[in-house]
This record gives sequence, structure tokens and C-alpha cells, in this order.
Amino acid sequence: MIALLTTYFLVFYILIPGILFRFLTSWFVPLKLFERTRTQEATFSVAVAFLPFAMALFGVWYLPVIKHYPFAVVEGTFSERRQDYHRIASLLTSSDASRLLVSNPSSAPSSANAANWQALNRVLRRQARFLFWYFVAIAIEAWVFGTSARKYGDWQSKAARYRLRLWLMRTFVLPNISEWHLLLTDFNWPRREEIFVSVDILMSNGYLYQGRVADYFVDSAGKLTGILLEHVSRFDRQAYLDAKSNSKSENAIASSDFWKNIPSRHFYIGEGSIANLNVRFVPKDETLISLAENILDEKRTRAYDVVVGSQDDPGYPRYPGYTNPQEPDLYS
Amino acid sequence: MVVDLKKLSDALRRSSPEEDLRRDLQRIIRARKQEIEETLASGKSYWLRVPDGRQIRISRREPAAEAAQ
Repeated sequence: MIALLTTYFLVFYILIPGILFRFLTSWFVPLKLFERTRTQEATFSVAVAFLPFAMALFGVWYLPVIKHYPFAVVEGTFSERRQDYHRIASLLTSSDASRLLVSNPSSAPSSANAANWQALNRVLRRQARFLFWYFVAIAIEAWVFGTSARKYGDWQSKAARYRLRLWLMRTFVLPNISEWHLLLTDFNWPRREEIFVSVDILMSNGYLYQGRVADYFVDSAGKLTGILLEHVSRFDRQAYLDAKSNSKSENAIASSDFWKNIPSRHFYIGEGSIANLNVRFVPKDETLISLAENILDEKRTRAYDVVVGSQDDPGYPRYPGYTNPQEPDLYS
Repeated sequence: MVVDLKKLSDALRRSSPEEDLRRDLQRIIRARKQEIEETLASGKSYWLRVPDGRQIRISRREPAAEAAQ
């Protein structure tokens, strides 16, 4: 019976809160994942559950509504409540608990057994009420954790104003977030800047791909398993080397002319084939246009018009030798 | 793999995406300024590939559009 009780406390007071916290937080921001030992998992859960436990305990003891609902029971006096727990403790430590609960045993009066049942009912209801508010507090904590994590970039840009929040974030939230989330998303930057992540991926077979990170995937150990890209292009190294060898002047060949667009909505690259990853945080199109216009128009003549092109634009450059806009030859 | 996220965050924040892009654009545009001007002078648009993969189309601003602005 004691083993059963221990399991109950472990599951409902430590394991479920930890799982609930991870699940709810993952709606906002992916947590750092790695295979923990049982001790590490328990430590994490205890750390996560400490504050909600204290809040729930305070609530069920002192706060008007939380004190009685849900699972309302006639509370009685302090000594009556203590009596209930004494009865339950007797049941749990008894070598034959059924003797204290059956309706008409030979060894115990039936009124005592009825009182045991009533005590059990009240204790179970109190436990259910406490767990209800405990899990609600866990959910609130996960929501605060997740929404705070999403505002990290904004707070970082105004460090002097949000000093305390940043300290809390960096002490409690940041160490639990996946490092890939920092590297492959705009997590670290203010949302208003609309930064996106562009990566150059050198494959183990020598190919070089470039594209925007649409998504990334990690395994249970927190290891990157793959990256999903959009607006992908591949560098035609052979054509570049050929052009360089045929050219009289090395400077006449621009490497940017040898990127081939891949007309695929999404392009997945598995971790196994990645040799090297160059991550670049890139400002939005408006910033690019404004910068390009300023650099071009040094004399402020307003003579240049700059737009960011899309692949549907007529005249959009593909690569040397490209002829058919309907069927781009991406791998030749 | 254990990564110090605070250090990683600080290291990333030390660079500025806008400043990096400005430097890249300055380098590319200055290297191709003559080519750009020649293309625009012939009445065509010039397509320039930015290091992050975006293509920008540079053209002469139409006088009507300029007046409207």
C-alpha cells in the first residue's frame, strides 16, 4: 500500500506536472531536449512544480473559491480534517485494509468502517481539488514561461527598460530552450524587425545550397535531424570553375551568377548530409530596398528604383544558359 | 552537446543584420557600379543577387513616378 501511495505522489505531483509543463510550453517555444537521467528528470520536474505547488497550496487553504471548489465537501474543523487523515493513514499502513472497509466484518464495528469510507471520500475529494488547482497553476506557469520566451528578442532590444525581465529570462528560461531555436529562428531578434534566417549549407558531397529556413527538426536527444528550406538555390561550382578557368581576368567572374534557383516550395536536407552550416540573419525586404537605394544613390538624385524580385517576374535571372521558364532545368 | 545559451545569444546579438546587409550591399554595388550604370543607360533593368539569395531589380526611376512621389 505504501508503494502504491509513493507511486501516486510521484506520478501526480512530479511526473505529470513536468510533462504538462513541457507540453504547454512547446506551443510557444521548443524546450531544450536531451535524454535526462531519472534524477535529472525529477530535478527538472521539482523545479518546475515548486512554485505552482506553493500557489495551489495557498489557494486551497486560504482563497475563497479555490478553498471549496471543485469537488466540494463539508470541510469540518481542523481536528476533523486531521482525523480523516489519521483514518487514511491507518488504512494505508494496515496489513489488511479490506478489514477496515468492508461493510460487516467480524473484527471491526460497521460504524467505524462507514466513517473510514467517509474519510476516504473527503480526502480523495480534497486531493482532486488540490490537483486541479495545482495543474491549473502549472498551466499558468507554462503560459508565462512560453509567452515570456517569445518576447525575449523585443526585451533584448530595450535592455535598459526590461532589465529585471531579461535577468529572469536569462536565468530561468534561456537555459531550457533548444540552441537550434536560437540559431534557426528569429527568437533572438525583435519581432517588429521581421528578421528571417538564411542558411548556406555545404553538403558532404560538395554541393552548396542556400535558402530560407522554413522549419527544423530535432530528435529526442536534442540533435538536429534536418532542415526544411524554401526559396532554395544551388551553387553550380563546376560551371563556376569552368568559367574561371576560361576567363582571362578572375575578377570578371562573379560567383553570384552561378546560383541556380530550385523551383520547389520546400526542400528538406537531412542532417547526415550536412558538412557545414552558415547561418545569416536577414532583414526584411523594405530594409534591403532602402539600403540598396541609399548606396546606389550617393548623390541623392532619386534616380534609382529598386524592387525585390520574385521568380514570377519577367526577366528574373535564372542562371547562364536558362531558356525555358516553364521547366527550369535545376540539376543540369 | 551542452551549449551556453546566454553566450550564444550574446554572440548573435553582437552582429546587426542590417549592418551586415549594408556592408554586403556596399561591397557588391561598388564592385558592379559601372556595369549597373551601363545597363541602366541602355534602358534595361539590372538584376542583382544579394548574398542571402534575394534578387533585386534596379531600374531608372520614371519621371512620372518621381513626380508622384
